[in-house]
Amino acid sequence: MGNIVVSPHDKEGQHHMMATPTSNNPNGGSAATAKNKSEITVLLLGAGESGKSTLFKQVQFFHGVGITHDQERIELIEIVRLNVLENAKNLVAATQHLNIPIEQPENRETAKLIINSLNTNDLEDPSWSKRLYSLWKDAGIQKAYENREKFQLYDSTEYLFENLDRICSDKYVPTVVDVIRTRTKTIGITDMKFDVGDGKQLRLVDVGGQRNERRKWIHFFNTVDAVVFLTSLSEFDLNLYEDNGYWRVKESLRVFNEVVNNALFYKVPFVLLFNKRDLFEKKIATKSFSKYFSGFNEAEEKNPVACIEYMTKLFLNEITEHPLDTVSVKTLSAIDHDNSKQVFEEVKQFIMTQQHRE
Amino acid sequence: MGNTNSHSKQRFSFRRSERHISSSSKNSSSIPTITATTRNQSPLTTVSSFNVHHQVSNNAISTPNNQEQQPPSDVVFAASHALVGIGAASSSHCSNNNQQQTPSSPVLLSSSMNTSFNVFPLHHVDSDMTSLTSTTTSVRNSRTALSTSIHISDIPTNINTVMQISNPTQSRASTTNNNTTIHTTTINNTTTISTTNESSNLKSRQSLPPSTQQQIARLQENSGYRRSLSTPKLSLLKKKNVLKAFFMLHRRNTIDEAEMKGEEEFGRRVTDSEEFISMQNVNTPIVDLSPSSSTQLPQHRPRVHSITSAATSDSSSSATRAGADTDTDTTIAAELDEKKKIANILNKSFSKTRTVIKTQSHSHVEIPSSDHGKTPSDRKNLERSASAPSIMTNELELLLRDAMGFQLFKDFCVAEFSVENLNCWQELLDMEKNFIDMSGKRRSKVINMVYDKFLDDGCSEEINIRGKTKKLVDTERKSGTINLDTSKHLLHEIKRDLYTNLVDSFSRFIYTDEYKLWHELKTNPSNVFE
Repeated sequence: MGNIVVSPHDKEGQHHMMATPTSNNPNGGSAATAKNKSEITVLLLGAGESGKSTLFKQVQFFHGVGITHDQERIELIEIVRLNVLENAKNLVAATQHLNIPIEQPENRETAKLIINSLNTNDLEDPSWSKRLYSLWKDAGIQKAYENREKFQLYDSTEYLFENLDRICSDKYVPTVVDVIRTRTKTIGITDMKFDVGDGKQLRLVDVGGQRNERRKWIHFFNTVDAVVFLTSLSEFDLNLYEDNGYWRVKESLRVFNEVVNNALFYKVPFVLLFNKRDLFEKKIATKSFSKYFSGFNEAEEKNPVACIEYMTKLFLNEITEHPLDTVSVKTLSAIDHDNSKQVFEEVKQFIMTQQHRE
Repeated sequence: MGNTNSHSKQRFSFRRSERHISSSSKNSSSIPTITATTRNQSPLTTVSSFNVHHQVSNNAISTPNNQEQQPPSDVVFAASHALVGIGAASSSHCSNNNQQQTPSSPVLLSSSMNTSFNVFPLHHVDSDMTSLTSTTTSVRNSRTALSTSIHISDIPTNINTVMQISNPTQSRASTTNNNTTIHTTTINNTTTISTTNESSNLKSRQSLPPSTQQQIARLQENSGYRRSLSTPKLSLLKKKNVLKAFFMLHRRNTIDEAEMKGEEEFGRRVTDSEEFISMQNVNTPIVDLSPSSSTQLPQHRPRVHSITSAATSDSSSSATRAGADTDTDTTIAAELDEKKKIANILNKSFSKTRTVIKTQSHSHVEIPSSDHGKTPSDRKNLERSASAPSIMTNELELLLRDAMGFQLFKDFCVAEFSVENLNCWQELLDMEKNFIDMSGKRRSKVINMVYDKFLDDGCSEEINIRGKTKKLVDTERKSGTINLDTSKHLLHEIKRDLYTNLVDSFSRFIYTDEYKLWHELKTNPSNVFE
């Protein structure tokens, strides 16, 4: 690893780099044994709300495990309803925060109840379906929703409110799509193993993406055979969940830089996935993309391909250490089952071929 | 960091643009971006270097550079696990004293640790960790002298526990017993490195100073243990663990003398079979650690064992796992005659515990999360906070109230690296009860303590909460005095976020065998034995 240059003030870094050549040999050795290893560990990394868990759930689904089974999804009723409540609460709180009045008096009543006493069990009552839907359609709430970049709101909001009549029923069993669309902030690290044929097992590791969660990633960095880094295309107008004054794209770039240039991953196939393409295309139709990137040609801002190309450049510029031929870039819409299946197959192929090359 | 210059040039226009977008880009490009890698790999050369790091992180509150301080915080993480382990033990000691009066509680970590410490003193870790702890505590000067002394005396033992837990997974190949392996882990790292499967990365660092090696080894050991995440299918082994935890919990509630006799008999049996299992399973019998203690202090076993077996059954090959299962089978078969007796005892003791749990939950009714049994004035208080976690699921609530359920959930969270949420949750519960008797100044102090321990950027047990909540607490804590309503409001806000975190962990915990069995025990205890 002779090409590594360390910033001169980083004494510890120098110390470490001196130790690197030796440290890489056993690392390479483990990569070589990976060929014979029956288990491939793939890390899903990325900043918060980049879609790691969504992809994780999709992979579960098309491998026929986990949420594929009804009885597993029944356990998640709470989670879906909690999501509805969280979204409703956030919207109502936003109307207060943004000084947008809720117009209909009965919706104001509903809003009060939501803030103060509503719990997930109440949602079994179908009457809540109408009340919540009416609240959702209220002009004030809709206005707040249009300004959702100013506060924290899950991407699932619209979908869940449109499906209230199913959710608010005592017979409700979440569909696979419901579970995939539901936003749950992953806490800690979780993993799952899938059979991928050839007697090989794929071990997919899903992690939390917020700042404090990222400190836990290190525990898995040693045993990695491939890294899939996700970033959200549609986050260009959003700030962080854990720090409202910090731009998400900047955070994603920072995290990407730290991960891709990590010495432990030099020999590891690396996939960069631009997620939420669907949302992104909708978003740039109404929002100015170039407003957020001064280096971007304004004339092209309604062209998703050009925008994605620009984003790709931004991210690839961050790569200073990792060999570029083991980096693959793809776009993804993780909530779309077919798309994520196809992309994941491609990713798997890429990882396998990279491993054979070793 | 190679071409930092050209690199930043490439991004220059981009950087400039972001300045006017994000209002608080104060925490931005001025920070030299040191990759996590650099620090990850770069070992902490000395404890003092760690000290510097930590103080930096403490001073620069608004700087989001926690990434750059990963390793130190990880050490602290491990250390604070110990802190909180003790904290949790002592707090549960307070909340259910009728359960904790006898020293045979599995939840009472400190006692188990003390013993292992006596049996097995680790001088190196000891001194090392003591200095480390004093660093931690000196950084958080809000801590009282009393707690400092407790931490210093207890941490090394806890680390010891962690090692002894993690060791069997990694050093299966080695034929040394646990005792020696651990010994070498701490005193002579080279040996451990050669016996450990996964520490190939470490080999290279043998040239590093021994203190560094120790710290890495500690980290590695930790991660090695935690790496075994996925839960295997319901094995008899696991079933036994849960049952054992259950028994340990209920022994104390049995007053009937005849039952006591029967139970004692059973207790011995459990210990015996445990020895058997751990010997068969792990190759490195834990029993060897403290040959005398296994009979004297059976209460240590469940905790250590449950983790050991969880780790073993995951990381060992399926062949050995199958072997282990057969071994368990024989053990179980040997106990077959006892089953009816056990079921009897269990049934009796369970009805007793149920009342205990009931009273326990009464004492928890003040929790804002549960609206039941609230007086109208209490409710009003609740309604002040716009986002009180009134959505507490019954099951999660039950689980958190039940000592065994809590412990099982905690073990799960430890394995998933999310135990800080539970720790914080518990601390807030204990705190809230006392808020009413506190002065405004004291409340502010307490809130400050919570902030330093759980909310501060880069602190050892940082929890994942909304930036909004953090900001709110941050502004309030600086006022010096906090009135009752505000303090409650603050706690509500934190707990609301914490709750969503717990729900996420819980949503995975419900698929584990531990939870299923716990649930079964709660609903129909006799079924478990049929």
